[in-house]
Amino acid sequence: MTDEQLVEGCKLQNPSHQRKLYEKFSRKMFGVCLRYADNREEAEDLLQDSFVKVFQHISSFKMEGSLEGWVRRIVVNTSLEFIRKQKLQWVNIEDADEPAESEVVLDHMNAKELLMIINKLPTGFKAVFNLYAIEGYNHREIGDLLGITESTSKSQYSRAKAALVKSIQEIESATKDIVKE
Amino acid sequence: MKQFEEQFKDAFDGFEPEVDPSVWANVSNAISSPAPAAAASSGSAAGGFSAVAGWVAAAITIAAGVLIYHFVSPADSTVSKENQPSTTISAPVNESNNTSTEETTTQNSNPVAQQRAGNQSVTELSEVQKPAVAPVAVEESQKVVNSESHATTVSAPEPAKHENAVAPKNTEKAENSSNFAPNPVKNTENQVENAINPVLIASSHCGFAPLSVTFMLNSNLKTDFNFGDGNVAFKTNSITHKYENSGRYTITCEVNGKQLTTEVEVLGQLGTAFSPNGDGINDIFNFGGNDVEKVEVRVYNRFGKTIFTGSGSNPGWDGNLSDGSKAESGTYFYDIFATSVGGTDFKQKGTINLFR
Repeated sequence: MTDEQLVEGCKLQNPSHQRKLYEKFSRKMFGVCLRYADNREEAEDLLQDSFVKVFQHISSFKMEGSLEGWVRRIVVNTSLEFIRKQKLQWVNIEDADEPAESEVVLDHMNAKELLMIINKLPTGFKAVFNLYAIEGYNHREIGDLLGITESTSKSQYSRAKAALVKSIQEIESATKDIVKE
Repeated sequence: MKQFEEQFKDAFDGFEPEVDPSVWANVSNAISSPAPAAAASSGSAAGGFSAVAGWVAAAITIAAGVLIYHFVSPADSTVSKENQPSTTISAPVNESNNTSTEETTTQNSNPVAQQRAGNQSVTELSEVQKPAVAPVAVEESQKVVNSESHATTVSAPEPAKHENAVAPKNTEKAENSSNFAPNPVKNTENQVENAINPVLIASSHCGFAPLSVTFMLNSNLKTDFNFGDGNVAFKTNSITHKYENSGRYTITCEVNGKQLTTEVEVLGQLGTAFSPNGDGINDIFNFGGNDVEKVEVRVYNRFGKTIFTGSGSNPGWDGNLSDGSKAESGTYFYDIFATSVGGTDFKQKGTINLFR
């Protein structure tokens, strides 16, 4: 079934089309939610709210862009809404140290392990990192999305990145030690 | 520079974790009828609960609301000079509750309260009325919790067994509601406060050490708590205390000259880690021990998937998954449903670390 047929069916509120659309994207979108949420329960809540929105607003979707992209934007926006509700304290760190060009290689780390590392970041760092590195927004856009300045977004990002590099390096050296033994 | 981001992006490209079926159930509910949608989203707006738990939380909130309402209602009837108890309330009293009714009523024939209240008939009326209702409401909320998580497992602890009603897990909810409940002291006189029968509620009466238990009073009164293990807390309405050592503890506090007590049984500690590497040391994690009669346990991985279930007097996990493969090193979560040798049913959550 093409995306177009799926969308048409969902616009008519056909339950089997709705189900198919959910089946098609839910896992991938759950992966997105997990990156923003602090735990699995929160991610499930986000996914649920997102899909309710998808079905409520499907009639406004014109087949101009990709369906997945549209669903994904709803998921990301729902996640950000949730983060904004938490009223995070954004600390602008002017002279965040740029991490030394990292020799970090992620080849042997799978998504689950990386998720574990990202999940250790504070919510704000996590959001900025996700938006910039994975969703591909620029700092000005992130500033708008999160209601912070561009420079705050930049400093948050470099702090987040430094923290990530550090934990990855720690894990790597720990693994090396084990292998040596 | 770019490389780092790209590596992350690539790693997540094909990341499609399993989604719990309850999510679709909730979505489908929400889009097919508008009413459940509102309930579901309010559940999640409360924050941090899983979709299903959201529903349960909503149900519990309602149950707790009912509970609080009944605690307060006798006071209302005093104020409004309508001395008739709302008859509908006392209808669903069953036998097990009768016991606790009698108990509480005798306990309540407190001379101080009666003198101060001035209007004796009202006091008696409300005292009889209230305990008859309270355990019912609590029991209902227990059913919600239990039926949600494990339909097949142990029955809810009987309220009659303890002096006070048990409110498992949802103490926070009840607490919240009590904050929102209209405070009778504000707009009426002290005698109204006295007409409310103070009850000490514990979130749990049994569990493995270290056991955190929340104690609270059903009214907005504040008092000092003695946890029975040498620790005390001052001037509070509700407090969580962690028992580190096994033993039987009696918790006491005094409200309006009346002594309230409840008991907590803390069982010997379970471990927190094991190393199933076949060296004969700590290869199996046991979920029971000498203090429990029977145990049912479920172990979950970080993603909430059940990877082990066991039952018996001392079920043990060897660190293998159901297909025989080895579980990775890391943190795992468990839910325990158990009966202590003393005959108290309880449930408890915990984490174990697996090292290889």
